[in-house]
Amino acid sequence: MNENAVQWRLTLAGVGLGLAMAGLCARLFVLHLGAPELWGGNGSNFAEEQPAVRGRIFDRNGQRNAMALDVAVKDVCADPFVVTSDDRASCLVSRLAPLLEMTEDAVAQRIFSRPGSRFAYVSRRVPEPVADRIAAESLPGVFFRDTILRRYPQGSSMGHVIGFVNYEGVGSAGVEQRMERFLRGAPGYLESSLNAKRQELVGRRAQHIPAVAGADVHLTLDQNIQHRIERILEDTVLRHRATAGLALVQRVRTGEILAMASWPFFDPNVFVESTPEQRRNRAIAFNYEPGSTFKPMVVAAALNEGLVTPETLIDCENGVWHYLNRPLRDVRPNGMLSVTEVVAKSSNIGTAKIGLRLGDRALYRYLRAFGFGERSGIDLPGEERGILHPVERWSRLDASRISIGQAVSVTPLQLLNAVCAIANDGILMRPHVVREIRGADGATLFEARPEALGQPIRAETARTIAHMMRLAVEEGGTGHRARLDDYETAGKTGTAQKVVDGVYSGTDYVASFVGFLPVENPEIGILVVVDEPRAEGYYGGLVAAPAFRAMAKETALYLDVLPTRYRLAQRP
Amino acid sequence: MPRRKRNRKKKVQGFVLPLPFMAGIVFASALALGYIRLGTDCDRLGQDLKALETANRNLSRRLLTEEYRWSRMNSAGNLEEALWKHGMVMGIPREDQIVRIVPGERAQGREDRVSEAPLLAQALRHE
Repeated sequence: MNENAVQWRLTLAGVGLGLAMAGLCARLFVLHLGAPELWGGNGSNFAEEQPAVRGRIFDRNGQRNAMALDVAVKDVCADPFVVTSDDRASCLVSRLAPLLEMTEDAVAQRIFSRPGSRFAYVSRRVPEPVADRIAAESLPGVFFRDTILRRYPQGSSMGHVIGFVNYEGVGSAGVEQRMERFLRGAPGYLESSLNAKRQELVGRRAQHIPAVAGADVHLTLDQNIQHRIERILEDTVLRHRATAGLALVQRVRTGEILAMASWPFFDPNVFVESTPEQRRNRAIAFNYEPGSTFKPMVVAAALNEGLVTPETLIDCENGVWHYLNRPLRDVRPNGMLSVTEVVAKSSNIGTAKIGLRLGDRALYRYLRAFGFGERSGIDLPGEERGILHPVERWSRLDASRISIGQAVSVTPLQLLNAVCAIANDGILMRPHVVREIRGADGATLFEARPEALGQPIRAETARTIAHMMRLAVEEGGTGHRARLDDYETAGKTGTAQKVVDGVYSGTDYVASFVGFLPVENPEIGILVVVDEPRAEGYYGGLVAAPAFRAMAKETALYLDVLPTRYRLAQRP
Repeated sequence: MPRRKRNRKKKVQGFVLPLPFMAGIVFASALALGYIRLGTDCDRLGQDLKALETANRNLSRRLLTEEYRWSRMNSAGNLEEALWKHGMVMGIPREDQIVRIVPGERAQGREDRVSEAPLLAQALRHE
């Protein structure tokens, strides 16, 4: 080996060793002394919970119609120390104020209210486009915090069904509350280190469990039907200067709720601005005496027991009948009426006599079988059970009064569901508003299936009473204003006096109409209830029946329900 | 046999680095450099990962915003209002504006349709 070779070998070893040592030192410096020192700060470990995006709520048409979803927004924050140390503080306030649509005084108040503090909220939950415009201004001391806000793009539409989330992001009403465990998702977890620029050092990430987004809830309600129902209901309530109103549309065969409207409406986006009374979903949380809309169930029970036939004649006492020394009156005097006519003309006396033939225990048994006095089990919170006292607590008079829808309280949903049972060959279905729940990965977590709760009456009894209810909508019946040209409709009017201070009021009424269509193959049931109408009449036939007609017409056309004449033509 | 003479010119003067020791140093240096290279790659990948996570987060946030805007735009009330501004009203077609094809009519023979005609006429008269 000559001297040159040795020299070369030494040089190579020296360079190699030098490089390795320099690299190792650099690595050692980064790892132990760390880059943060280089930038003049201290590195720090942190652990944070990462919020999950809440699941969305859609109507029955799926992804096209979102009823509730999360929106990315930003909190605009400021460091008062930095802002005040900058000579352009006043300039900053004047530039920030118009972007946030606030007065300069308000912005200044927010920033400088706590002297010495290094943090202040200037405005919370600012839409991202606005935040982007502020960011483009590069204002000193102004920074942003990402946050999520629950929004309801349809505003007040379907508000009572959807509900809302509180400021902690927890569902507090409606579907938001009932489906909380599906909607909320699972928050993630991150444990890692930050550099001096407060940036995460991903290489030093100790633990990272990604957040799992909440499941999407698909409703049975249809946004378009709901919209039309709400408009018609609002028109009706305003025209009759009523205090409240509600409307329900249900699929007869499945129990699916297609629309559920309760006036006054409220906007879940600004739920704090509404009163508890406005937020009450009357469709499930309004106990009221149903009046004559209750009669079909009583007559159906008597028919089912074979105590009467449609042709059985009942003496309606020419309008006034004293039972146990208490008078019972009809709106119009009637003499002898068949059971069919009793229903069509809505005779109180006739129905009370049918109820008395049935007897207390049988009447009670049938009413319970129709679902009165207990919750229907709809997948919404806050459902009332109505009031149907045990038969042991009935007075001797009660059977005659309960038969005409007095001394008993029901919820609108109970009543519609019972009438839908008549339309559905006597089978009572469980009403529901949730059709399907899908996880963030698209997997189906829940799928609603039609669930029969029981069969209070036989199918032939149901068809008989449906025929009687059809006559109530024909000319001469109390509900003729609900008649549709293209569809044979069955229904029943109701005008119930409200109980005020323990006695029946002579001025406050609940006008209602419940019915279904088409009679020969029922598809939809609709209930309209108007509370305390004060103008243009107060009878169910005057107030609620026209609203029912408008709702039924639009819903049937929208769902493309085949008109009656085509059904007749298709019969073999 | 004459003794072979060593070439004095080729003799190394002073410290000699043995080849095995030299190889060890080069190997250790290579390992150290490899470690540094891997460490640097990990840092770069971490930064890339973070950048992608940030981009994903921003896109998700933007998606939420756009979904909300879209849902607001295509709501029934908003569409109605938009049409109203242009002097238009959209409604569901009336029954007399709908042409219905009776199901099964095409599948059946001409004779069947002829035999159905009185039934249809009867139904319409009934109406």
